[in-house]
Amino acid sequence: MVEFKEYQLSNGLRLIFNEDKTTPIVAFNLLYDVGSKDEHENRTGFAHLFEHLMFGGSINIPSFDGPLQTVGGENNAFTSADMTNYYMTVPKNNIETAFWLESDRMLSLAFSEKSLEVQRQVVIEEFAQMYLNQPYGDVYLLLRPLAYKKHPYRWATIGKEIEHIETATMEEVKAFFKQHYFPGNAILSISGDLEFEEVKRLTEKWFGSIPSKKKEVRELPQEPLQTEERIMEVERNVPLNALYYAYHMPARVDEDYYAADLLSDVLSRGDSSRFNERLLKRTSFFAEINAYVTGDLENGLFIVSAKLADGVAYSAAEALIEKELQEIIETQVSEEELNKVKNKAESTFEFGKTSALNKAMGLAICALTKEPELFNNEFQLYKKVKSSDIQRVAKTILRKENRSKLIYKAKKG
Amino acid sequence: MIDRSIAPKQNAIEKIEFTKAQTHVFASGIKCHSVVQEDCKVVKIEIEFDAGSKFQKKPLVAAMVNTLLLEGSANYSAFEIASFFDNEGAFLDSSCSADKASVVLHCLERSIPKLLPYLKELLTSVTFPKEEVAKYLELSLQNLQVSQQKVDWVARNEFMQALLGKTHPYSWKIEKEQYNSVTREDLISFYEKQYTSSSFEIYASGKVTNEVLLAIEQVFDQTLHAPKNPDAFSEEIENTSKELSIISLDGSIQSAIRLGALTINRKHADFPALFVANTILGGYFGSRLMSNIREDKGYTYGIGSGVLHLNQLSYFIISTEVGSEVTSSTLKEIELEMNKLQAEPVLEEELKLVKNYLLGNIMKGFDGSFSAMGRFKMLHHHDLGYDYYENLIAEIKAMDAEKIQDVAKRYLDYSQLTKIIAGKL
Repeated sequence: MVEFKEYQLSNGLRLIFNEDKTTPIVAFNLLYDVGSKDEHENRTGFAHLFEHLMFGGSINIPSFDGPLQTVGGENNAFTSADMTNYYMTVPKNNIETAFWLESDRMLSLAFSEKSLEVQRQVVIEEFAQMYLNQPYGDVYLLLRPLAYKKHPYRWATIGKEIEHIETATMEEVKAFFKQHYFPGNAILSISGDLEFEEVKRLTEKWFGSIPSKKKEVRELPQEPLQTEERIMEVERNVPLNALYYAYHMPARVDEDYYAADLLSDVLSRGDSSRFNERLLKRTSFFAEINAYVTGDLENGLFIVSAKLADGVAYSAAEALIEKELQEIIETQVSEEELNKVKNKAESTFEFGKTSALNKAMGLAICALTKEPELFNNEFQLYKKVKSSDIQRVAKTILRKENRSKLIYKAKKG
Repeated sequence: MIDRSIAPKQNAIEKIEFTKAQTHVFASGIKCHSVVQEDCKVVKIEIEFDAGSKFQKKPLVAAMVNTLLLEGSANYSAFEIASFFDNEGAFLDSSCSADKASVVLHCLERSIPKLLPYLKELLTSVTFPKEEVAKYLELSLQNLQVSQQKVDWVARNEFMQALLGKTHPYSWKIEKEQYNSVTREDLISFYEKQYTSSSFEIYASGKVTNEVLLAIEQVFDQTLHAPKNPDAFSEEIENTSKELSIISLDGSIQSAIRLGALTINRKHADFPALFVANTILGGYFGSRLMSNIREDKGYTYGIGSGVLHLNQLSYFIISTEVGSEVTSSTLKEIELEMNKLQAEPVLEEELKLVKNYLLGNIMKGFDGSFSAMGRFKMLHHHDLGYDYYENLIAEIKAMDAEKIQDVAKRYLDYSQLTKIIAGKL
């Protein structure tokens, strides 16, 4: 059990605090309820570019990193389709510096032209390094728009194309900040050896005077039901043929999410899983094969991905995968197999509670997903899943009409 | 109204509490080191052997033996073994570096009595089944083809050989053809020499209760075999290349850059100053290389430098991936920053920042039992005690600009660096 206390400022900022007497550092996590799903389709990659700009100085403080490092702290951030999360660790006697820095950039950024120009370039290099200059790096850039036609999950967090980043203007940056960066759209989560009353006092002191703003109701276009299989074929300069299936599946808050997640675990988590044992080890058809869920807050994707061994025909590899999928639709998984994946889920949760930073981040993400208590009881939701649930979601999800298929061929040199 | 332009009081980091490991010597003579964390339900147990790649006589052998340890035993197939661990929700991994090789178990504390006997079985009745060896080679070869298209992998693969020459035990380089030359006999002979005839040590962290310790002691009740003296190996450095080598990768839009040189180890009197100097140059997010090459020029997503320590030698390294068209401009900027560190004393403000950053970073290294064990392992591998940190902290606090400039002149000289570029220049 990770104990926590909650408090809300009158301007809407939510505070979650976990007292951890065992650690010399404090983890300070500020999550904003904004991700790439909130972007305009002609301005994709913006939430992430913005995350970079948050380090370019705020209204009263020219440098974010310097003052933090000067008191022995470190920080980083990430952006996903659903959230932008900023986190730092700081020695506990310097915790007030974290409040000072984080509250000032919520109040307002400096919006320096130089910062925009440089971070634009940095993000373009990130795009190149992670997506374009990696073998198979552009898979999600192709798969997302194939699987989603209306919902903003159809573009990757890095953006649809570099051009959107290249042409972003300062006005757009300012408008994005105004729309998404305010107390009511944020969750502050802290874990460390502090008193709750002191944490509350500091939160009021530094965040209390930031003007409140009404949180808009998010109205995202809903993805229409897919009714027939979609297939896309590309050729790239990679060594091995690859194959990707993307099926629509329930959102993380849906009851069936947990059955779907365990379904992917039965197929491919651990060396004794079905894909590993039956397809990777016992045949020579695959170099790699996996099944996993994207875990998005709204309806997400169930992915099957494979790299084919040299000289193996797509039809042969697909027949083997189909056979496994068919079996899990037709025959319930055994109690033993079900317990195995539940135990994996349990140990994963328990390892996730072993550091202050993991706890602070986990509580904030759970609060955004549903409620902070989810951090403690999410495993119970996995535990409740029955073999019949797995079979039922397998039947619903693993249908051809629900599938987008990407054939990613190696260019013959 | 608060004045937000004024920073809150900056408190000095006075005292850093080290969460120390305890060493238990079992009746068998085996050493087990532990760091206990009460408020969790999980345990990490690592069994570590002197079986890194520096001991191998043929390429790939050390890593193959290490991986194949987990692939079945005399009494159980690879699938059965995987099932035992998977059923308990445990994670079993192997890892192999230049010096050491280990098997690592992450699991719930309650699974320990069930899983330890299997762990021992894996380490003591190894058979290297033919089909598993063949499967390993088949999959590795396919994965290698993917790696060979990654510029950072290619640069890394070249680097040690360029630094140490072709025959040094630390300079193994992976090539496709090597996969045909490894035989099952090579594996068995390496296993017998490095795993059964040399000593091993156990590192346990997390919820290491007395029961857990007792279970470890009961299972590892004797050394697998009596340790013998390991082979001496050549440490001679044939030749170090200072020329710039370029490995061209067709169609690459980025280049990976690796620059480095041999340097002093952690016991050297100059090391604390070099540690601080390296941090200023490229050792943290606000470093000069990051500030200049990422935050000012936007040439890269990231650039860093570090001093890495192997058992027999230490080296300084800079690595980054940059847009192909700015590869040579990046090299110029790196040279400029290194020259600046030699030519000009560090200003007080920057030095203060770096000192505090490092103290905070050392403190963070003791957050939780898993991190604290990582710190202990580092000390133990290099035959150091916790006084190393006490001394390092005192030295960091007392560091001045003059010392930093002095070590920069002696150890951070751009013209002395081995230079590898994978991609385009």
